[in-house]
Formats: sequence, C-alpha cells, structure tokens
Amino acid sequence: MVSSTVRDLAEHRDAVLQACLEVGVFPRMMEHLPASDAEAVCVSTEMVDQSELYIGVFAHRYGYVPPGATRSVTEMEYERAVQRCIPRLIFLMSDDYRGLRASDVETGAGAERLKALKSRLQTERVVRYFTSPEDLRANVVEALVKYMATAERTPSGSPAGSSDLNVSSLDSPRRLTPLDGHPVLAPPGGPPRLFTGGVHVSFTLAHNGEGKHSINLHAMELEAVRFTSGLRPEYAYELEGTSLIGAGIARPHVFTVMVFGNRVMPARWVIDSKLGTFREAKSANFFDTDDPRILTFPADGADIEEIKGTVMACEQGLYELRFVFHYSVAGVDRQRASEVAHVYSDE
Amino acid sequence: MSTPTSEYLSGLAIPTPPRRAGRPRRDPRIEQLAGTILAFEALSQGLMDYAGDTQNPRPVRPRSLYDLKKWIADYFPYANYRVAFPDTTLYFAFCSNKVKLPLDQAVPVPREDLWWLAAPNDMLLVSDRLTHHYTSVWYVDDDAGRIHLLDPWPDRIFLKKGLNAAGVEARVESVTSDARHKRISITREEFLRVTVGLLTRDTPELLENYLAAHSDARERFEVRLAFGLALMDAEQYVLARFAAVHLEAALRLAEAAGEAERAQDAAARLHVALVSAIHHQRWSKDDLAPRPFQDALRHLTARYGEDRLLAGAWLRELCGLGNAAGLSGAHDEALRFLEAAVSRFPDEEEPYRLRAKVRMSLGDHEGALDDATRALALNAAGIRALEARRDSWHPDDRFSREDDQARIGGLRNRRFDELDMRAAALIALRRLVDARAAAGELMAHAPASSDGYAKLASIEHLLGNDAAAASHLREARGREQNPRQRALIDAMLASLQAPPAVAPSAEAPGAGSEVHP
Repeated sequence: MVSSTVRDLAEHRDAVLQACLEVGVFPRMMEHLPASDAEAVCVSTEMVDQSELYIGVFAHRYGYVPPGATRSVTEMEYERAVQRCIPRLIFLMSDDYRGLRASDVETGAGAERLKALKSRLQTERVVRYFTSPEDLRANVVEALVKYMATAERTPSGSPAGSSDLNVSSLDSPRRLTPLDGHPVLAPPGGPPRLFTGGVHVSFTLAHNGEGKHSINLHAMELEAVRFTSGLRPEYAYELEGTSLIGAGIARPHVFTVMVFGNRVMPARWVIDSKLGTFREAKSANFFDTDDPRILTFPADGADIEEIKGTVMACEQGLYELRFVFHYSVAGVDRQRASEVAHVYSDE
Repeated sequence: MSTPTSEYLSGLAIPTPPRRAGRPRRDPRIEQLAGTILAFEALSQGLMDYAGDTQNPRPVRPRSLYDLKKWIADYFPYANYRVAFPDTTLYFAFCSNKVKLPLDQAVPVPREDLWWLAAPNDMLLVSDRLTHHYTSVWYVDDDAGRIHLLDPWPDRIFLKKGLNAAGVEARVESVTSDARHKRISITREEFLRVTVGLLTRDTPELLENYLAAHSDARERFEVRLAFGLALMDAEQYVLARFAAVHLEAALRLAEAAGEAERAQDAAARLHVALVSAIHHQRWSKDDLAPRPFQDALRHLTARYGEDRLLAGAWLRELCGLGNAAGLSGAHDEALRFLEAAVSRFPDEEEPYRLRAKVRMSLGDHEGALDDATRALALNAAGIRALEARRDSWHPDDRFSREDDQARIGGLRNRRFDELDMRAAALIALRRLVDARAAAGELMAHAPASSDGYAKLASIEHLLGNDAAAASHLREARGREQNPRQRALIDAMLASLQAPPAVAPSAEAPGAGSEVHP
C-alpha cells in the first residue's frame, strides 16, 4: 500500500510505483478519490487491510480531512497500518528538497496537524528523507530490498500453530486504572474511558503455547500516538480529596514514565524503595537500562510475566498512548502494539 | 515561655531559618511550639519503625487532611492550654482548589497560595497520585525557591529521585553535626506539583493576613464559607464571633450572584455562628458585647425566617446551638434548638442526651427521664453496631479495630452521662426503687467513679437510712479525685451525723413526690 497526499506528490507516487515494480512488488495505490467521503475512508482503510506492507510518503500537505472527521485520510491510513502492526516504511521530504512550490505547503490548522504527525512518524524504525523524486525512487528500492530479504525469513503474519507473544488487552478494566483521586471521564462522542492526569497500567505477557520457538522480548516502548495540546473545558475535572490520604507507605512503583505532549521521557524502574534505588532507561526502550532486560518465553514454558507501571501526563492536553512490544521469534523481529489509552491532563 | 523557634533549633545546632516574605510570623507562643515539635522531629529521625517495613504494611490507617486535623486536635486541645497559647489558637486545613473536599473540612486555595501559607511545623500532605505522605515543614527559603522538610524517615521519603511518579528529585542533606539528622528539600515547582494540602496552627489572624495578601479571595464564596466553617470547627463554637464575619461575606457573595441555594446554605451557617456568638458573649458578662450579633441575627431571621434557618442546620449545629444556649442559661432557647434536632434526627442519640440535661435544668424530670431512657437505648444500639463492625475487620487491620474501639469508648462515656441523668431524674421523681437500680447500673458501668455511690447515698437518705447513706458517701469519697467534690461529700457526711439531716441539694425531694416502697 502506498499512502500519500495526491495533488502535490503525483510525480513522487509515480517514482514509488516504478520502484515497487523494479523489485517485483505490486503496489496498491488510490489515485482517484471515490465519489463520497465515507467511501473514501472505507476504501483507503480497506486497501491497508489488504496490504502486507505500508509505504508512506509525506511532504508538506496534511491532506484531505472528510467533513466530520478530525484526521486526514492519509493519517487514517497510517493509523490503520499501525493498528494492524504491518511493517511500515516512511519517507519524508527533506528540508533540502529543491523545487518546492508554495502551493504545495499547507498552512494553518493543517500545518499544525502535519507537524504532530511528522513528529510521530519520526519514531518509526524506517524513516528516510528524499530530496527529489529520483532520490525517493532509489530510497524505496533500497528499503524494499532490505524488507524482502527479512520477509523471506519471516513467517507471514502469525499463522495458526506458530509461536507468538500473547499480550493482555488494555480494554480489560483491571489493566488500566486511574491515578488515586483522579476521575475517569466518559465524554459524549469521546473515548469510553478517558483517564485524567495519567493512568496505571499493567500487562501480562506469555507465550501463546503454539509452535516450537521461544520468544525473546527485547524492547518495550510507550508511543504518543496523538497529542492535542491545550485545555478542554468540557473535560474539566477535580481530584477526589478523600482518596488522597496520608497512608505513608511507598507502594512498589514498577515503572514510571512521564509524557510531555508528544515527548516520552525515559522510563524509571524502582528497584528497591527501601534502599532508594532505581534504574532509568537510556533510550525509549524501557528495558534499555544499565542492567538490560530481555524476557524469554520458552516454547514449552508456562511463564507469565506481569509488567506494571504508571504513565503520568505532564503537559496539558489530550493524549492517545499505547505500548509497543518488540520481540523476536526464531530470529525474526516482530512487534505488537497495545490498544490505545486515552488520557487528558489539565494540571 | 516565649523562646522562639530559632532558639530551639539553634540549641540543636540546626541552622536558623531565614525570614520570608510570605505568611507573617505567628504569635511567639505558637512559633515556640512549632520549634519544639520540629526539634522532636529532627531528633526522632530513624528512631521510629517505618510502617512499610512491617510484615503486612497495608492497610494502614487512612487519614485525610481533616481526619488528621481532628486527630491532632484531640491529642492537643488548645482549650486545655489557654494560658500557654493565645485563646484563639486553632488548627486550619487548607487544600489545593484542584482537590475536591467538603468546605467544612478544608479551605480550598490555589496551589501557589499553599507555598505562601507553608510555615514551620505545618503538616504537609504530598502525593504523586500513587503514594501519599504527611511530612513536616521546617522552613521555606523564598530566595532559593526551596522548601525544607523534616521527616522521621528522610532516607525513605518517596520524593527522592526515581521513587515517585511526579519527577520530583528531593535533596537529602545533613541538618546537624549528627549525620543521622537529615533535612529534605524540594523546589517550589516540585512543591506545587505534589502538595495536596497542609495543616497549620494559628489564630483567626491568619485568615485576615491571607485575605490581605490575596485580595481576590475576599470575593470568592468558597473561601469565605470555608473560612467561616474552619473557625466554627473550634471546640464549642468559641470562635463563632470571628466566623460570623466570613459567613456573612459568603452570604453576601451568594446573594449578589443570585445563587439561592448557596445563599440558603450560607445563611444557615451564619445563623448558627450568630446565635453561638451571642451566647458566648453573654458569658463575658459584658451587656454590650452580644449587641452587634443580636442586630445581625435580627436582620438575618427577618430575611430568611428562623424555621427555614433551623431546617437547614446540620445535626451537630443544632446540638451545638442547644449546648451554647444551655451553657449561657438560656434553657428555653436551648430546648427550642434541641426540639428541632430531635424532630429532624429522631434516631440520633445526642439530641436526646442534651435535651435531657436541659429538661433537668428546667425541672421537667419526667421529660428528662424519657430523654435519658431514649438516649440510653440508642447508645446501646450504637455500641452493639460498632462492636459488630470492630469484630468484622480483617485480622491484620488493627487500625480500623482500634478506631472503632475508640469510638465505642466515646459512646461509653456518653452512656455514663445518660445513666447519671436517669438516676438523678428518678430520684427527683421519688421513684427510689427504680433510682436504686439505675444507680446500681451506673456503678456497674463505672465502678471507679464516685457518682453511683453519691446517688445511692441520696436514695438511702430519702428512705431514712442515714447509716447506709453515710456508708455510700464514704465509698464515694474514696473514689472522688476532685478536691472540691471531696469537700462537698465531707459536708454531706457531717450533716448526716448532725440531725436534722440535710439532703444533697441536687436531689432534694419535692412536696408530694411519689416514693416507691
């Protein structure tokens, strides 16, 4: 699936098409929007659903936002690919790009949204910058060749009977719980559970019991899928004072991670609250500490690992957050994303 | 007596806190107490077991800001130390206005104002929304933008880097030459992030100082109402005269905003304050003292009507009004308030107990007996319910058990009072057989008390058994701790041995009274 805005990137889409054909990949592309907006959204997400790989090309336009929607069709396509956890190759127009027309640069609200989207895209594993359609073509060819080399070693998806990682769903009420004294909102037309200030989270991880391969979980990241800055009067909330009591005992903090808008700070793990020791991650990977962790789930084991922690939303605004687990099965990297948790903070 | 905090602290080689621009210093006697307690905090570091180290650290005794305020007030009632502290010393609870607490429990203020308020020995409730902890303020260093705290467990404080979810990185530094004594400090910004509220000792002057420094608060209904309620939280409404000013302001603000429900609420609270203030001023024996409050009360009742005002009063307020009126000798007025309390809260013990006292004072012994009997029945039911709850707590939850046991102790104290009144009413009604049984019950309830024996002595005397009466009086004297009461018993004993006998005046028989055989 090749996803991009169309009007400003016609030449570039053609370059991507050529690159795909060059390496023997047949791309799905939507060159003409269907008659209705509803149909446009439906067709585009269906195309992502039918694809094994997502190629996103982004320049300086946010793209068409259907009436009543809050996101462009292009962002919806990316979102769908993320939800499906299919591999994603991202190509961003470089600041050195020559021949950019003023009409191809969006301004106003669209520009702001594009900025937020780009900052999120930059957290993807494969992000490349192109300076011309020819450069884009070369970049796509190179990325596709690498991808195909990996894919040949990778079982397609997770077919029945093969080893895979089971991650508990965040939709369970026990897995996401509010901070002490913080209400959980259910705004009309909004997410069913909107946590305030932050959220306590817990996962159980286990081998799916199928296949013969062990699983190595080597990375866990928190991703700010979306952040909309600012106060929302309709979400105004108060803390329940009777829940904030002087109990005097530090509960075991398994991990704590603070998020400032789109910026996710390094996670901290409390090792021993008695001795006052903790470890701080050195990168976005929660396990990347001075004592790096890799959780191994043997094929014949019944090990269940529970990971608990707290996410604190430290900048005023509305957050969509999810965790991404990176693991390998038979030497092949995979990733799994949690459901999105919605948090609003006005503190 | 007036040693300032700094002298106490310097005696411990603790650096003297710098003066700050925020909240003015309090009366030296209060500052002195703060210094004493801070010295204790510093010296006790590391000596107390950390609750989290016990085998089963949870559940611990949960204490909200208000719970802690009442708990400290119970342990240190300023009323008992009137000479050592200003008459008007009181504990105040302030909370961030982001935190929802009933206005009669804490004064909601902007978080920034908690920084202004923080003073030595204030109890600070800090929370990262996961762990919550009370700690003591040592001093605020405005210049450095840091607040210094003293805590019994400085090495364990969750405000240290990495141990909290709020990103706070407290400094832990040595505070005296003894390396065990440590202080904790956090920045102003960190303080604002984690502070939920604080408890402080001061006089009503604090509220005036606060309003002088934060003039916008003068026009905030919540602040003025909460100020009034905080002052009405003093024992027996002794600070009602200060509370009335704020409650009147709250009423004015609600009326100006056209908020009828809030106005009605403020009016009901103001009514209680004004009535209480009038009765307290009567104690002062200054005829002019109650006048301003009487005028304000007339104005208020003309607008809202006493029935409506009483209908909006809380149980504790109606009882407090009855008590205040009774203490100033306005028994008819006390009765009116307590009638309202009984009518609105017929299943509560306290209004019956208080009305029994008033009825006794008014000579309505039948009425007093009925009320005391009803109060005793409700008391017994209350004790049974609390005992059942006490026994139902999880075996590890000793704090909840102890709390309920303390409540049962409170009910048993009331029971003594009610048994005493029932016996006295029966004696006054000359139902001496029943009175003897009631006195026996009183003695069984409190064997170490002199009251039951004194009652028995009265009964025997009325029955003409002076030898038995003298024997009971001697028992009573042996149990009596109060020298004045002992002297009274001695006088009674002397009168029994020197006919004609003089019966104890409180239980003197009336003409035509019925004496049961």
